Amino acid sequence: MKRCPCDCQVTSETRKTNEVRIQNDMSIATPTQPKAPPEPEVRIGGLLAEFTSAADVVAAAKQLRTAGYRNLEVHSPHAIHGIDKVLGAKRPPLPWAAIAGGVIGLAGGLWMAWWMNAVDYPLIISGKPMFSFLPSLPVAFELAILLAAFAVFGGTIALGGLPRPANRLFRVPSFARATNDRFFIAVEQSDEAFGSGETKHLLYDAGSVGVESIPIVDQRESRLPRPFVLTAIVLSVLALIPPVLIAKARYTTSTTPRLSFISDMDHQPKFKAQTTNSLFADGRSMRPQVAGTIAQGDLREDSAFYRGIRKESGNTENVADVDIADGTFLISVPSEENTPPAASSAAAGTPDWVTKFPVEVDEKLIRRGKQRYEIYCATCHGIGGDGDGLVTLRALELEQGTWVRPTSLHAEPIRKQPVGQLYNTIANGVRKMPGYAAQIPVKDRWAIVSYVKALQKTRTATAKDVPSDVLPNMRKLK
Amino acid sequence: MATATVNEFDNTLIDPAVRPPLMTGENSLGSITEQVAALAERPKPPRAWTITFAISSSLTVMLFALIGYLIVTGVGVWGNNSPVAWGWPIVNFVFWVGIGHAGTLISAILFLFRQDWRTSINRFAEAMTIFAVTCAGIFPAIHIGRVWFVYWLAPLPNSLAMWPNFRSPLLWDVFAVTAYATVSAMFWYLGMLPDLATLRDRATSRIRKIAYGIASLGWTGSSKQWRLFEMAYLLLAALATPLVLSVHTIVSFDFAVSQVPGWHTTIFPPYFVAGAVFSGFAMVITLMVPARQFFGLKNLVTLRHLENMCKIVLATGMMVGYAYATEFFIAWYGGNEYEQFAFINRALGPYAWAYWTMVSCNVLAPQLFWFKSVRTTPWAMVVICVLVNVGMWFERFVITVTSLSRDFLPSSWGYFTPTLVDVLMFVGSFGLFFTLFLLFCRFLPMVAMAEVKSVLPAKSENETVPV
Ligand code: HEC
Repeated sequence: MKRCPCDCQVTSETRKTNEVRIQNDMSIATPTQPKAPPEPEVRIGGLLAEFTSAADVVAAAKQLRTAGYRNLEVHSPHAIHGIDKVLGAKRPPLPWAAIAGGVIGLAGGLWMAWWMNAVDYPLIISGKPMFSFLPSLPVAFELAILLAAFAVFGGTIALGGLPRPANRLFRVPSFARATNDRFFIAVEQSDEAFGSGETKHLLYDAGSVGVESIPIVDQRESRLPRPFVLTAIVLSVLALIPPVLIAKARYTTSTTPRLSFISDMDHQPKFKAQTTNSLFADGRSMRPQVAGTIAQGDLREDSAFYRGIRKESGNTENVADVDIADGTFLISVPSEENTPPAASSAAAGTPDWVTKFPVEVDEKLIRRGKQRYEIYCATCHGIGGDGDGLVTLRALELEQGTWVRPTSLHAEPIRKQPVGQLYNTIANGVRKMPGYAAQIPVKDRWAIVSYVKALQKTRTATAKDVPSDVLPNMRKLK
Repeated sequence: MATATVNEFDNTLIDPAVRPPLMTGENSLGSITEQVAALAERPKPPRAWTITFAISSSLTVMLFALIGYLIVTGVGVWGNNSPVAWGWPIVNFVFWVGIGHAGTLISAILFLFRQDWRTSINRFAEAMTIFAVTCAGIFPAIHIGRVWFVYWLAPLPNSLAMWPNFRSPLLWDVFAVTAYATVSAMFWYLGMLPDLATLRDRATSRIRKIAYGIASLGWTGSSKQWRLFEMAYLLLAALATPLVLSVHTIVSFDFAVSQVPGWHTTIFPPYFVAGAVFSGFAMVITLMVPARQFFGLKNLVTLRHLENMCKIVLATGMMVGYAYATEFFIAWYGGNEYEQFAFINRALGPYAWAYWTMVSCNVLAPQLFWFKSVRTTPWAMVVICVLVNVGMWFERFVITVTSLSRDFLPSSWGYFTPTLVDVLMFVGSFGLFFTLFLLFCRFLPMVAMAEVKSVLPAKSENETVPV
């Protein structure tokens, strides 16, 4: 046992002083120079005692604990088993962190699989159920482990008070061996039982090979070095630039085409429609259809359905439609640029319009028609069909004189038109009205016709037309 | 203590009455620090290091140049083509992931089983794991073709309003490998904190002080930190153990969940895991033997460590051999003619050469480890372990390529030929692996000093602390 190298007498008065001011460590360690000039008084943060073995440090910690010290910390190059009991330390709550992380990961994984694949974007895979437990498990399992590990790792760092680059213990030179081959006990000055001289004795008695005082470090000194702070600020400001730019791009509009860093498949070495090509004799990239063939879905045998004209009737020539007659080209002729069929109808004779819907008309179809009508027709014809759509109003306001006001759908002649003719108007247009065959599929055209018929009915119908069971609830209908 | 130069002490003898020492020679806390830390503190690396580093870093540069070429040109630079759409990149991926299993196994599973001998080799093996997983991760990432869309693999909200398919093993794989890489890295880093602090406290130059100071996060070895450290280590080990088993299981699902004959078998998960441990340990031995030689670590990494690892290689090698046999048995017993064809085709078809290379390297070569003289002769181990890794690469090649090249539709059968880019990329991945590894040997504590210190035999009776 090493004795304290000094012969000083420690009185019990010094014991409970909270603000301990003692002579500089050197003057205590070298009492042989009694005439030394008075050193400036230094406040110390505590004492650091060095030991050579794990057993010594455990024994010493035991002694200090029995002497009533509570603010002790042992530093060692490797984990010492049993020290926690001596120091009366509690088990860290890391397992709970792990469990919490695991549960969140598992639940989160399952939730992702369910919400993403079954709710937000239902993904049908070989007719399997949208969500089932087993195939969702691997991801949930991995996430459970990952989050539990994050919790443990983060918990260790946070509870261990790390990262802590500045620590006043590092100011004691001998402390460098704490991570090598020496063991240390640090007694905090704030400890109830602390008395600098007395504690020092106790530590030497307990087998320490050297006791040094822990300096109190000025707050300013332990701050991060200025270059670090500056770099951190500059970097974080720079790091903000990309997200800000992205946010700006997302929430503003621009007339220039979007930036594309990687052109992906935008540019492909292939021939595009309407371009020339030296491979073929006719110099065209687009190839004509082989004579006598019909493309899939283009065989429109059901005349009533596709053209609104009864099949038996031969009088169809003047209805512009998909024309495959000469087998060289397949182009749908926009009616606008051709002789308006209705205009010349007197000359060529009226086609034999179908008068009954070639599709089944039910509420669903009419509703669909309403929706399509409001998309495609209402802009010109107005929601109510009076020829007062927004585009029309605007055009009239501009007073350019070129705008033909759309016919009111409630006009007598239009009301009398057979469904086939209405259909034809939608598909091929009429006089100044363009055809909508390119935008509106056949079935939807009929849906619109059914809706137009319904719309017309709203102006002429009387209570008698309404079925008696519906009549009482009419107002409530939507 | 410079005992490493003295005749090697044989601690492989088994005397049931005496526990063989974990380390040989006289070691003390200080000598261990001195020995291990000195390796990371040498002002100039040894010549062998410089030469290998020059080679491996050039290969790494080549790898990244080839990746650039691949990205600019497209995956057509590889030999992958119908019907073998999964060629070398996937073979290399599975190969490297497999190697990356030994580290966590040594660290976590052996830790849970309280195998104290692991302390000398775990840091090394963990580093190897992380570097192998790095190499592994590169291949599937570049295999997706349009690398810049790699984030589509993650469930991130995107302008397509689409989510990844959670019923696909390929997605599971993304999660498994990422989780594995992350957890292994955390495990490795946490375990290294005390040793980084040692290097910090010994550092003399300012750069080293700052670098190790930041890396060690201000570790002081307080009992509070150790308490957390030990518990965290235990918990991470407990978490990493099922993780490591799940990773190769899920990698095997990439194959097993499909319908391709030769892939669609339930034996794959255990078979893959055993193979992974097998190849991982073989790799640890391959690296450990020269490392302990060059860095004078023979007293810490003793012959007994090597011998123990050889035994694991032997055991897992036989599991792999058993799996090969079972595959054939089930093909016959299951009565599925496509599967039967797939296996007959493996052993006797156009890839028979690959199949038999695999069998001789993986099943026959490790049998030499039955002999103690082989198990205790370092150069013999290295030879066998290199063969094992060759065999394990061929195993993945056989599984991937033979099954794909001849599946249900004979009209689309084909024979896979790798391109030069395939070969050079694989070579380059070794370059990357060794580059990272050499950097690790140069700048980080190669042996877990703190852990070795805690299993040092106590000097005297009163050193041991009653718990
Ligand atoms: C671009 C504006 C515009 C849109 C959109 C439009 N129309 Fe017209 N429509 C007109 C104009 C203009 C006329 C009158 C043409 C004329 O007299 O030259 C007209 C005439 C009509 C007529 C009377 C045809 C006749 O035989 O006299 C009907 C019926 C009709 N539209 C129905 C529709 C339906 C149904 C839609 C929706 C698919 C629709 N329109 C969409 C502008 C439009």
